[in-house]
Amino acid sequence: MNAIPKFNIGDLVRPDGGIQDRRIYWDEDVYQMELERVFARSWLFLAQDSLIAEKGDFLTTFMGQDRVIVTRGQDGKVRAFLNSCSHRGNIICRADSGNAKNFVCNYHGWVFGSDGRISDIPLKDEIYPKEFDENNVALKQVRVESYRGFIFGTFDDNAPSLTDYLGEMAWYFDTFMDAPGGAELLGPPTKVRIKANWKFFAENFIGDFYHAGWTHAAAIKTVGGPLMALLGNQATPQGAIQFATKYGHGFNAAPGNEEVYPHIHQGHIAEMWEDWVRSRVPVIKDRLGDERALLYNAIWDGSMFPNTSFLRGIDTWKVWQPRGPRELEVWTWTIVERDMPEELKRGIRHTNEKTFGVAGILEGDDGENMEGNTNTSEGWVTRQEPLNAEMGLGWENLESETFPSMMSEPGDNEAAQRNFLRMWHTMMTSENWDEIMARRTTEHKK
Amino acid sequence: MSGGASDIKPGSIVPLDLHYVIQSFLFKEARMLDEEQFRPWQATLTDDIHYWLPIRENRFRKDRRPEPTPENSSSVYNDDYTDIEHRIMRFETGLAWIEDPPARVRRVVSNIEAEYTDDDNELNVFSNIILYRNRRQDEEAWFVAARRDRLRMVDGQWKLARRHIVFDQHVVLDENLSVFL
Repeated sequence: MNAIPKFNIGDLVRPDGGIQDRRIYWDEDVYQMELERVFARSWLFLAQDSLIAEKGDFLTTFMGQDRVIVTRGQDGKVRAFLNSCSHRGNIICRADSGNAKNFVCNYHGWVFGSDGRISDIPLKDEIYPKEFDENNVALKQVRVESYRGFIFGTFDDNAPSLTDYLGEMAWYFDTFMDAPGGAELLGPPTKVRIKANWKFFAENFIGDFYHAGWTHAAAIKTVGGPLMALLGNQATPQGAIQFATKYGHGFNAAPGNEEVYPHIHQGHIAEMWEDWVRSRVPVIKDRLGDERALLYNAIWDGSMFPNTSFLRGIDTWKVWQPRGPRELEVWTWTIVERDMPEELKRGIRHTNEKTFGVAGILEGDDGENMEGNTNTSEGWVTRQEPLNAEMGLGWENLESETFPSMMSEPGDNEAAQRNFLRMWHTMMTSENWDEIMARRTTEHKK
Repeated sequence: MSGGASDIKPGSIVPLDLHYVIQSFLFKEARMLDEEQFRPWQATLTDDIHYWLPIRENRFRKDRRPEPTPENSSSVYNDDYTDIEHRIMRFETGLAWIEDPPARVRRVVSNIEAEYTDDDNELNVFSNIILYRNRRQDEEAWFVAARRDRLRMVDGQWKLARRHIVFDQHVVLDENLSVFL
């Protein structure tokens, strides 16, 4: 008997993104399709230059659930390839990071170079046929490109270039990535396993100012300082705006204008931070113009489709590594500007760890929400009830002459979440990147 | 402390009576934390407390990079007295809903060793801890760690001046690590 199709994937998100079937956050079949259609086709964050600065430096990470090795070869070039031996499938490298010229499989000693190609097979001439072609057992390569030192990979040769995929987001990233000296990540990442669907986190970071004053009330009351205005959802953030880009990325920004924008640093580091921002705004203005000087002095929360998120003002950089439809690992780095004094960088790392680390006084609140969002779907009846993201529906798409991409006011808005879900929907229902690109070109601003 | 500096060798173990005092300190500390008596617990910390739980990457044994420090690596906790004060204040706001209803938390402390140091007023204390956390209906977590503590005698009381936690998970396998170990 043929299996009865349980649903049509295209029906699970309403075309405007405002209503979702809960099965997209729960169902194993949807998840397997996500691994194929979203994770195996998108540009995914792999590393940042300073994390693998020297020749031979490597780290191991995941693209979806595919294990990969990312390494800087002796030629200085960064490459990535599957961390699974082409002989019998074993994991090749079991360290999180290090420095190595070669990667040797523990099973039979096959040696792979920093390009993922065979550099030695023990006893090869004696035990393999003459026709055996080593090229056929090179490790599957990841297509690697980087933007301002941030290294991404995709398995899809037909995907647009990383710069095109970032689209308008690149212009916004430049606000801090193209500051003089650029941005860098401080690692290694902290990692925590949470029983939730990865998309809830990406959506939360892409545009959910709304939850901050409520979910995080305890922490904000304790260390909120300038964030106190948000406490208890008594007000929307002043002057906040939201952006949503063609390929599903987006963020909120609340500018500080005359003041240094709301942040969460404490004591001496808060003063150093404020001095840094004040001294930097004119430099950014000079280099990148008024709009990005405004955004430089703003708190941000954002996500890059599908599973990378960041905060500015807490300066966290996160990847939501899926581990099934109902589980993920949260990997967290700290993002700083390379030219900052070392003491300020350390202070920023400390603030990030204290607030959005594994024992972060805000992070725990989010984990608890996302587990609840996910796990209630174990109920069959509950699972039939749709979820809602209609906040600000119809108010998006403010055309702006100064900012590229769709823009919405006020910042309390779910336009970026809807745009994220529509990108997800497009990828899940498109056969290839030609179709994704064509559809997003017409659908993005609808 | 009993005995002058001259007849104490750094690294030598303390006598039984002092060991008993240190063991009682650690047991009481565990009980105070289990019972959420955060302010009395805080009173057992020195003003210059460093409470540190670094993450432990999987590195090859031959890896020659220096051991992680609070300055060059990532931490779960890297707290001073003010940071701990903030964690307690957060708890006391009445708004910390993830702690409400409260979790059931139990600490078991063992393998205690106390050694003299080159400072007459300070001891190095080693112990292991198993922390069981049970929250909501059925959420369970077991955390296992070693603690490398520095205890200091201040005004006739032992206080915790430094705690370096060697935590035995790389990926933290429960939703958060928001418990003092």
